Amino acid sequence: MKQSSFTGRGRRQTRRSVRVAEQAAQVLISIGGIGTILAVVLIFVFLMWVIAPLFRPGELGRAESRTLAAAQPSRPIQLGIDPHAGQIWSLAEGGRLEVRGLASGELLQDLELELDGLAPSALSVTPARDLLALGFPDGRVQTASLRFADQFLGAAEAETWRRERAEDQRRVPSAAQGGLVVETERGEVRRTRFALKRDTAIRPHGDSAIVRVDASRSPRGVVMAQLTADGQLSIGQVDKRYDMIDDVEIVEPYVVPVPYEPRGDGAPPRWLVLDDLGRRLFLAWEDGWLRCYGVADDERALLLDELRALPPGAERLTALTPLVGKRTLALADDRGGLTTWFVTRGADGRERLLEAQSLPGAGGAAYLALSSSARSRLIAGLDSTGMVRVIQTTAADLIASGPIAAGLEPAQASLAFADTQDRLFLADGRQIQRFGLRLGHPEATLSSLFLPVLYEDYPRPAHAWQSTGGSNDFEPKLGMTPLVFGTLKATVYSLLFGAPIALLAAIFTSEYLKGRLRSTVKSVLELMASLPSVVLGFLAATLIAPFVREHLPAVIALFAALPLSLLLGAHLWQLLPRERVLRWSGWQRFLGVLSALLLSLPLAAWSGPLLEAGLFGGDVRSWLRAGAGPGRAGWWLLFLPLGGLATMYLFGSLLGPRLRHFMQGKTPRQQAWYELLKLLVGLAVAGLIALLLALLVGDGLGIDPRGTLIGPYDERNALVVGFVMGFAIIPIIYTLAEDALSSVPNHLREASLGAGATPWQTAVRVIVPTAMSGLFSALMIGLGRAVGETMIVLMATGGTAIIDWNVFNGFRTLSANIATELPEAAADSTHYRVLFLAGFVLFLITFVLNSLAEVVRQRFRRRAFQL
Amino acid sequence: MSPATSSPAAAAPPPSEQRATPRRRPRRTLVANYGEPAIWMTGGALAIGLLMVVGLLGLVLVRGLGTLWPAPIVQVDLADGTQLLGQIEARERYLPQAAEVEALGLRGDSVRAAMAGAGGSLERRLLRLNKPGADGENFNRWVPEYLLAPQPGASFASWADSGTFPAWALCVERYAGGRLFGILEGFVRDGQRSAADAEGAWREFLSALPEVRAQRGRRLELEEHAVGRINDQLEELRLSVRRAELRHGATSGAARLATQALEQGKAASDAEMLAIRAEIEAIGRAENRSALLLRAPDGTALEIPLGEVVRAHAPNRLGWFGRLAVYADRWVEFVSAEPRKGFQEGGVFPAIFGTVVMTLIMSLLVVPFGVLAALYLREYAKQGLLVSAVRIAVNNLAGVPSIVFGVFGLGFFCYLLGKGIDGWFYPERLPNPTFGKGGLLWASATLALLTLPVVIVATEEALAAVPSSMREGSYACGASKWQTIRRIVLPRALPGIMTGMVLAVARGAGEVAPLMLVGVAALAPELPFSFDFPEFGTNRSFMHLGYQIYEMGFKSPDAEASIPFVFTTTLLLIAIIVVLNVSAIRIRSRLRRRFRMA
Repeated sequence: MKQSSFTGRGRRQTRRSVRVAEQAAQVLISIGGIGTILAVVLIFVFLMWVIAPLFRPGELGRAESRTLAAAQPSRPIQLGIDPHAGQIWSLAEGGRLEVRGLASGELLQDLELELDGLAPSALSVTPARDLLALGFPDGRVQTASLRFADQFLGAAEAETWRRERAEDQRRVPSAAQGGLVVETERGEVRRTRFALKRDTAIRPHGDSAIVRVDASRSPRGVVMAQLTADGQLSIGQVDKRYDMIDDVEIVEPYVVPVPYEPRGDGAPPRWLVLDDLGRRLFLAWEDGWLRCYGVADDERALLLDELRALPPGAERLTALTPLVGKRTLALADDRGGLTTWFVTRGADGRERLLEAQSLPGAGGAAYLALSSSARSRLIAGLDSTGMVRVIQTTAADLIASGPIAAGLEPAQASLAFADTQDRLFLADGRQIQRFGLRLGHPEATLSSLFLPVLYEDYPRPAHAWQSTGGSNDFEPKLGMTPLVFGTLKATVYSLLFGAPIALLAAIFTSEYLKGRLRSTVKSVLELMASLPSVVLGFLAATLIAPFVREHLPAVIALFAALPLSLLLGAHLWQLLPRERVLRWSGWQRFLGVLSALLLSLPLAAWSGPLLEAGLFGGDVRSWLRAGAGPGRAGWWLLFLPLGGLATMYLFGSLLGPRLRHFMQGKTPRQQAWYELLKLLVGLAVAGLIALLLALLVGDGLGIDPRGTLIGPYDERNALVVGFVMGFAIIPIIYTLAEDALSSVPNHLREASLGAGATPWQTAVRVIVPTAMSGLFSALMIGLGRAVGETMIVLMATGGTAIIDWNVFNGFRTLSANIATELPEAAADSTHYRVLFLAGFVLFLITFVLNSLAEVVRQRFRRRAFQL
Repeated sequence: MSPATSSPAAAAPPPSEQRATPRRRPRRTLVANYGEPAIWMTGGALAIGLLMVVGLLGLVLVRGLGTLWPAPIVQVDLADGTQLLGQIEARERYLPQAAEVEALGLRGDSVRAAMAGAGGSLERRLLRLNKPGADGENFNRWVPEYLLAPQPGASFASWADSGTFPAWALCVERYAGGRLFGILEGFVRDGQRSAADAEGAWREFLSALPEVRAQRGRRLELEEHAVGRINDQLEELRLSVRRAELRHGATSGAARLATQALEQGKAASDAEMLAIRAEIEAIGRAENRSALLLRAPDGTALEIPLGEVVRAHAPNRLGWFGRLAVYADRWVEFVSAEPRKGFQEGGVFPAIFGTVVMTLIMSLLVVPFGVLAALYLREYAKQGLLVSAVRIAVNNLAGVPSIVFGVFGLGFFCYLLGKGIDGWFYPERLPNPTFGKGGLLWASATLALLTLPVVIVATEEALAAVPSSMREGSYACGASKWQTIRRIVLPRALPGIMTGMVLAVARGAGEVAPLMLVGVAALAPELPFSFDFPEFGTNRSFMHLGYQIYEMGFKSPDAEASIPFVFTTTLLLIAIIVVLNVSAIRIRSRLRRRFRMA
């Protein structure tokens, strides 16, 4: 490439190092730049990736079956699995309990649950599989605790065990000790053994045979319920005291008799269920009748409700299981229907049985066996065609289903979940079948997250957020609607306060301030943006909230006193000679505004208590809380702004032309006096309109304002949040709006003024319309900030997730909820993923708002450029 | 359209008449058209905004500066015969409840008379007092005037003429427990009472304190560093055993060797520990040989060993300069010491350190990547629809709530990345997480992501502001693209980039919500820095000024008592952020001026 250029000199080669640097920079910057941008995309992708499993359906694996040696022919009425899923016990009618190894199927323990040679006549096991209730033909009842006990072998014993087992065996049944010995991942040797501990038997009712029995672990200890052959029903507890002097244990049965009346044919109920608090007793007959008794606070039992719990066409119940907590029953009928029932307090205060959910049915074939999980609101059902279904009851959601393998008789089978809920077991006495189960996140479906859900004990479907509870049978309530509502409420109230201030202040700054004052004012307001939100939240919680509570009447009065004193000030200012007003339109006027503002503070402090005494019977907070006194005072205050607007319209459009004509001939000073008069008349008219509306709505329609926009007062409330959030959103909206207003080309302004318009007319009819899209995008951005604000909301609201527009109470927003709950949520749990979903919703809201604002701003820029 | 030009009066006459009277009197603009009331409303809005800022800053300034000021110690007699000795925290006039006065019985009349004379209000002062007993917890109590003991012959005493300020009333600040108020009586040196009068005792105290402080420093050094070092060594040995087991199996030779080393290490450290303990005990005894003797307001004598004393002063004796000295000393302690007494005393050094180090790491992460991204977008990427979409997305990211970044940081950095690192590099420490939890590094990375848009946008603007004529000039001289960027574009854009960085730092330093998810702690046991390779302590949780405000002012059970201290912390945080912001604005304006000149 050696050639000479037209200047005659040889072309110099670019140095190698320069070329290398060029290449390297190109590659590095591209990689770094693209990588950084990808990192931004990663946020979006990662959030989606965490959320996605929430909506993945569950799955039931294929059945694996194992035939049992030395099988017992009778049908198991209940099965239980050990926590390590190594052993299974099955309890058969007649009181025989077998423990078998799951891998090999061999018999490890074989227990006969007789008492003095008598086989039990009634049996039941809790859904948690930790408590067994036994009733005997001689009228005695007894409970027994069931558990699998772990024991780690000592070094010497473990060594012996390792020597004796076969080379590749890691789990060895040791029939001699009735358990299973396993070497764990960490190299320890663990023996797991089923242990059944029988409690003292009691005889609550003489010697009539027990036909039904149930027991539960209530907070007060183990409680039993029993029904005898001669129709005596009772709830009882064994009180045990230790007598120190005689060194004996005193056993005293404590029995609450239940007024039981046999049904027509005298047949005893097929099922009897006592809830986990020991306060409610359910009886169910095979022909579909369901009865519920309750124990009142005075320890007397009474019948709460009785009804036929069958859909039309169905004749009898085929299976029943209580859910965890035993306050909800799942009933299956012969038409394949499956429903859940619980007791709830109706509007009249009476407790009634309520059909909560109609769960996915068996489609014609009846469920023959049901089983509930000990850890969550899941049930599994087996129908007569051999289909197994796993159902989440709160959401009435079919998680998974699948057929059993051949060789198992559905009519003879029972089911049980493994403790980890990742496996499901079936057994019919001759065979065990195992299903792999992947639940996914059954509590969270789109409808349970955003629509009202009927939770246990609730009288009607409701939106509720209560993600964690103390006990095992807690039902997580993951309704995100109250949180979304709280976010909305925070946004609305803070914009209601902040947006007008920011926009009006921007208009004043761009149109009426000049020079140094303007730049000073701007930088002071922009300083507001740098206040950390944690500081704002702290001040809101420790100073502002208590202050507002103490001086609520004055704060309410301030809302009226502020505009009032500004209007008065302006009208008085107009009384000055015209030349003065024009000459003093700079800092002098702003000084006047400031002093009018400062004067409104003592005005509010003075008029607040008067207002309180006059309108609210001397105490606003008790007026708000108790509903003492009529509601029209509240309506009047609420309608005042509306009255003001109506008056402005009245004076502007209807009287305007006449007024202008009338004013035309007057001197400016006269006009100013008339304007003042007009203001006073206008105020009176506005108050009158508001009063009329208040009387119409409050007395005419009889609607109380308390419970709408106002209501009982909490110290940390939307009013305080709205004010403090103003600190966060005002500077943002102000800066952007001011930019938009200042970038309106100056020739427009000059043309308008030159055509004879006043500065105000120019501002309202030329500048603001031109800058409208810029102002709109400023609002959008402010909205985005208010939606996501965390610390202020976290510290200045009570954090209760309720749906209520009341200005005077708190709320819980998505962001505050994430901040409080995410650190405690277990990774990858449903709760964790739902909180990620909340984050994603926030992300989407703000992203959409900002994009909208950006598009609008681009258009505005183009338009301003064209002008 | 304006009413001034189309009033009914003008529209009414027929055109012919109008033409007949061409010289109409010029119409004046109506007063209403000047829109004065509306202007006042807009001005009012601006004034509200200004008042909000000024009021809030003033409030924080006053309350924050006042906390550390040594208030005088007042001694007052109450009507029930007890005597109070304490610092005046606040004073105000208030309107007593009717029932409050009613409860006074006969004396109520004189109180009512006094109230009537003062417009129905009484004065009350908030006193910071000791609880009875020497454990020296503080509590605050409002003392209204009617509780004061009246002068002989009078039935009511006002605050204005009650209370004395004893010269030797001492405020003793201690390492454990709150402030102790008492009258100085004497001094005990080496178990002997060495000074009889207060004057002498004070001199003795001043001469003895430095030595005791030095001893205390030595003791703390031993307790924290020497003992900590031994524990670290043992932990390291334990981990090496686990590592050997994991790598070579539990029965391997390597594991056996490591176990032996651990046994030896244990034996050695036990001996060393014993020696250190003995020395610590000896120092502890020496520290407490001298003591201040005080008389409590209820007459009991208090003996305060010097080892417990942080600082003692007699505010009533101090002049302005003396108080200023105490005030300055407290500020020094505030920014350099660790918190004492549940964050009601002492300093916030760990929180300052955490904030600064986090912000530093954040800047180290965000500035290079932000500048790279901006360079790519502005100089290298082909300008088109995609790039403008990316630009809008980056812009929008600035508006995404900070808590969302926290959520991402927790899920991605702590749980995904951190757990991965733990599994690969620190298997011996499992199940205890090393990086698989919140920590300084992840918090910095999260905030870096949060502030990335700020840096990208600022840098892009700065790059765009470099006139293309300069680039073209550079190319015309034969410079390559990279040479142009490095020599021409970047230097001119540097102030803009700096502005972006400072703004990012200001945003990052004030952000708390995401930190709550990724590793901030209310009380971290150690500073998040060490010389351990390779993590250098960045996996530790850390303290942060902003979170301190949340935790102490809001969540702490004893929030009422720690609020003054929280105000001081708030002042510090706001000061840091305002200084950062103001410097950003300065840089920006200087930059603009330079461009205008160019």
